[in-house]
Amino acid sequence: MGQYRDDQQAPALDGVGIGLRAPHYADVLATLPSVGWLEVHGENYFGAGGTPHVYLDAIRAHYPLSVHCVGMSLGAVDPLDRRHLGHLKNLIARYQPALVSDHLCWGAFEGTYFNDLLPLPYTEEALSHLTDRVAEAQDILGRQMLVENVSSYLEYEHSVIAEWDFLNALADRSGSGILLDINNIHVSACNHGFDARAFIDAIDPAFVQEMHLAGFAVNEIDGREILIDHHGARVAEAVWALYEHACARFPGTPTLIEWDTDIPPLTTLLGEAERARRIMGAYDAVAA
Amino acid sequence: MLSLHDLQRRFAAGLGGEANALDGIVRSGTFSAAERLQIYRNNYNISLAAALGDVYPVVEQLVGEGFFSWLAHQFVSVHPSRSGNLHDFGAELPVFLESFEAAADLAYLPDVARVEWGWHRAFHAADVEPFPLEDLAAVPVEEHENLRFSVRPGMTLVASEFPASGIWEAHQPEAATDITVDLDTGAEWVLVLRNDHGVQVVRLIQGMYAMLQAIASGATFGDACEHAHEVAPDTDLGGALRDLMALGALIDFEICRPRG
Repeated sequence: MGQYRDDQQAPALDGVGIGLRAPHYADVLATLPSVGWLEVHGENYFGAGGTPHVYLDAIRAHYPLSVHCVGMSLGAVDPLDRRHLGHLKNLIARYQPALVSDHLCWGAFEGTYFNDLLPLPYTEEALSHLTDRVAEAQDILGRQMLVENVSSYLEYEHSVIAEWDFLNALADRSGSGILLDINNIHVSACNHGFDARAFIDAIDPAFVQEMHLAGFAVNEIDGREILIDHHGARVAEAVWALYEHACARFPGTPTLIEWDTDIPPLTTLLGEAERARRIMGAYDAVAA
Repeated sequence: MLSLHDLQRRFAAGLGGEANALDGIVRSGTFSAAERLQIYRNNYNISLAAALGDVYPVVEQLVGEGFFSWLAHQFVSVHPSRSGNLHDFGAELPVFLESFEAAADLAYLPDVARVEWGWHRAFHAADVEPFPLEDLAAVPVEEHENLRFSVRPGMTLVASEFPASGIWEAHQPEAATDITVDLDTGAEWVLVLRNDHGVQVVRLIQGMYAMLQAIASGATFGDACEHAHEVAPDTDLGGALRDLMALGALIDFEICRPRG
């Protein structure tokens, strides 16, 4: 394992990118905004043809690309879905993304898919299972993958490994990279009462190849609050502060602004991207 | 220790409705295990209902948002998602609606749903370039009955007792708000496909529909014409073929000579 660790299959991403979503296709193509790269959800392009591919073909000519998946169900005990991976492999061949990623989660059981990012227990059994699965997926795809930390709303009694140690160990053992979602760290830290900065400080910088920034929602249940990752708002101030901390530790790591529900005008995303770029730039300068 | 398999089995049962499925294996704190599971169950129900609403916006308009969420929940319990790609989810809704008592008053709903699933399939279907007309012109007349056409990928045919496409059209975002669809206008034969002009929902005359349906199931052009003629004796067969080609429903052909 680990043979994909030093892959350089496409030009590396540079700076800050935004998630490309269908409502912005025409705007992006007409204005070619100055962002470093774009990220798409792989599953939105599993269809054989039509408008999504027409736009992605045209837009890809102007921007480096990252393909981010939500449906591989890496942590499930069900066998990996070879058909799903086949679609992804075709997509990779067609668009030559610089990075390919999915989540540290599971999402299906006995063939029923929940199409959600469900939390895993952090145990030796789960780590060994994930290591095999990520390695298998990388072998099928013929390239390295990044694995992203998710937001969670529960923790298991029998979890014995810290999430950050689990991420490091998975990357080390499977040769995958880490996609560090700063918003998800904040959401989980608030929900479970751990120190978000300590999470970041524990992650091995050698593994981190991408970061995500997004907005969350606060749900109130009988006067008690829980944060929900919904990608439907601006990046929160607390998450910007955490991002500064992350930039100090992982300077120059490509960073994405994600927005998936109640999608705002493109200019709002570009404003968020500009703010991320200023923060990243400040820490790059320090590092240089 | 709880195995990963058993944990996922219990969690899956919890998402299916067992409220206490995670009791004893989840840390509680501010929220109980059941409350934490409820958050995931809500996310699951909301996201699948939203995915279904994305594919079936007219069905959603026809039954109303609240009813649709409940309908989606009932649907998911019988036909859960079977793919990590949500675009694959919801194919069985038309059949499910046929026996869905609560919406039995809206007898046209399954056919409207068929048009919408057809639209969804066509939207993601492969891009194809139909054969050039002169290729067909080069086929000698006596060979015409032996032609076997292939149809456009992702194409859907809907034969409805109701004005299914009329109802669908009246509920498109660009439609006028004061359209009334007369349910007694009778049956419709609808073709849904994506051609160079985007996804099309087209009403066909009955004979043309019969011809295309026969072609789609592998009949030669001769047999398809015979079938169209049986179904609708006054069908202009040559005109029907030209119209199907103009719509881009036929993308290729071969000549199948009968043996012997």
